Amino acid sequence: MDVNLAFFIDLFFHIMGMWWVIVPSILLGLIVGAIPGFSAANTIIILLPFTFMMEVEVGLVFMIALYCSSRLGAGIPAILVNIPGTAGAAATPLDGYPMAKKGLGQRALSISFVSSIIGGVLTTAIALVTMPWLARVGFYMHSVEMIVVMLFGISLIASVAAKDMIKGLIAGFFGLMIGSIGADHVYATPRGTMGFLELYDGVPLIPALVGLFAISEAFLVIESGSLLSKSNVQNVDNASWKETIKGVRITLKRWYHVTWTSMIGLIIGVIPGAGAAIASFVAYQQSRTFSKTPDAYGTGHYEGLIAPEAANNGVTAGTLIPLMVLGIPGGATAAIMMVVMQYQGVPTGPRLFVERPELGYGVFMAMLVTYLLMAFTILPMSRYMSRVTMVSTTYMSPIIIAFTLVGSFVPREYMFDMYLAFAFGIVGYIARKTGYHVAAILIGVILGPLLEQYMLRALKMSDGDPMVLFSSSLGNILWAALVITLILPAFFKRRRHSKTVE
Amino acid sequence: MTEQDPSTPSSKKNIAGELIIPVGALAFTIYYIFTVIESPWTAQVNAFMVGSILLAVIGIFLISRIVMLVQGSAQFHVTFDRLPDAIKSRQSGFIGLTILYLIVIESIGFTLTTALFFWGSMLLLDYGKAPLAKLALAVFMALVAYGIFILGFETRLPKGAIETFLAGAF
Repeated sequence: MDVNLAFFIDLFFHIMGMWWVIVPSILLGLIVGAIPGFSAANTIIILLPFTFMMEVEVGLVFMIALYCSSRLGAGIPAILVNIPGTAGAAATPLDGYPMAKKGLGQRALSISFVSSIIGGVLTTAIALVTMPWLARVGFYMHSVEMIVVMLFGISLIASVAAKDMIKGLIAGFFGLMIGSIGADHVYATPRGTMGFLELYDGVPLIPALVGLFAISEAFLVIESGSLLSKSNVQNVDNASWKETIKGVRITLKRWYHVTWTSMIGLIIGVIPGAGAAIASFVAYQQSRTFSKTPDAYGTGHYEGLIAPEAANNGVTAGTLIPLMVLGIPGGATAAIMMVVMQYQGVPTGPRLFVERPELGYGVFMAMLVTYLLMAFTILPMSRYMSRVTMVSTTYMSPIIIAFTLVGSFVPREYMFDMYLAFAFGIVGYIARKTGYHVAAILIGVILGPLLEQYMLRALKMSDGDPMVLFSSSLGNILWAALVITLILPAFFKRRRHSKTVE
Repeated sequence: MTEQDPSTPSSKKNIAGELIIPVGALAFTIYYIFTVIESPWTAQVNAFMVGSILLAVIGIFLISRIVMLVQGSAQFHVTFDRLPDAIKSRQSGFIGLTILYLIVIESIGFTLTTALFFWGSMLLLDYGKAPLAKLALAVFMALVAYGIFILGFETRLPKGAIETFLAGAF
């Protein structure tokens, strides 16, 4: 199949024809994005049984639409009630909430939506156009390079996403050990299976991600009892539509600001494990640094709201690039998409663009179409979405548990997988309570078998010589980058500490 | 280690909780290595490469925490004073109900267990308020789940009396 302009136009209208999947998914994504602690990743996990039943193309479009819209929905409670729906919206209330407190909540929502949509469209279009070149990167990645990239991904999560690098590394390598459970590929020797026959094929990914994310979350939200306090409930009740158009105008006038902050999101999104939370804070910080009015930030400044919202939507396209090009998930949602693609027998990495280009490029086209359709659906409807934050945990937690346990049962139809999901839920709960990153554990579980596969291949080619790991120029550059990633945060921390002491 | 009166609240960071994951990871890694010790080298690659890095990182973590304890910036404090309250908490009850759900589902089937789980959890989390309304909601949600997963997607979830009855009805 030729990848040319006609291909992209054809693909655009083909995806547009799936509006019947995209529009309901947008609505669902807005709702789940607005519920604090309930991410697109969790929703996709809950709805995995549905996704498995769908055709792979429809399933991917559904997940993409949900992913993009939930990112946008997370800004609603962040602005109105100072509660970010997801970690990616953590920088949004810095200026969004002061606007809401000034009675400009509706204008703030409008600014947030328009900057999110423009940021999303722009970065997706760039990802789509550069994909033919980015896809070639995968062909330069052999066993040795892939081993370093995987270790690099784990290290980046540890150094960027986790608050404590050592704890991030423990979580990542613990995940890699869990991912190594199962019979070895050559002699079928059982390893670390604890006597369970169900683990001979390795740790099934769906119970792992269901447990680590959704079940642990269900146990956590009970602690708060209710998501909103009484005063915040009143704020949600009082939301109005007054100044929507004014918000649109304000954002369009600042198109340059939207553009460069969304680029920050795209670049950070490509780095495995970095994610929307980091991107939005970096964009906010950069926006403030280069602003003529830095003192206005934090008081309800328009640019202070545009920067994190454009950046965290720029991340959505960036996160999928490592998955599509290298077959390495760049974040939790990408990891789930990889699981679904594997379940459906769809390859990831360079093979995807050779064997199924309509799916490889289709993922980004679906993202573009979703953002375009959101422009027409979200502005008139989003006003009511923030009300979902008022759903009590009394109803939310049992639903999460029952649906996710069913989700873990569906792929293999083993009762064992339900128990396994529960066990991962307990591990995830303890990890969250004690400051370990569950995404690092999950990515470790996913990469464990892959790392072993590449390691065996590299060692076989070199007759067991471990120095093969340092035999490639590209690999050595990546090793150097890996070492720098691990050393720099400690260096900066020490420097900050010594400056504080002085 | 600094002596601390357990009854006195302290601003020092308690490192007891954050040792759970490293200790679990350490125990699992040792067990994993034990299972491959007599295996061919192809089965040992991950155990020794990933395992040794993990053990090294855990070692660094433990040393850093020991240094914190020695410097007096952290404390290691395990108390069971709050255990009775913790066991009685709604959270423990909910975890218990989840375990019960997993145990019972194979015996009495998906729909009935799900309805009972929804009802029990909602009553527990809402301090037993409006039991009849919650029962109706739980039954409704369980029937919706039955319709979607068993009827719609033909998932082979554990079947019991309700599924047998409903299969006859539909």
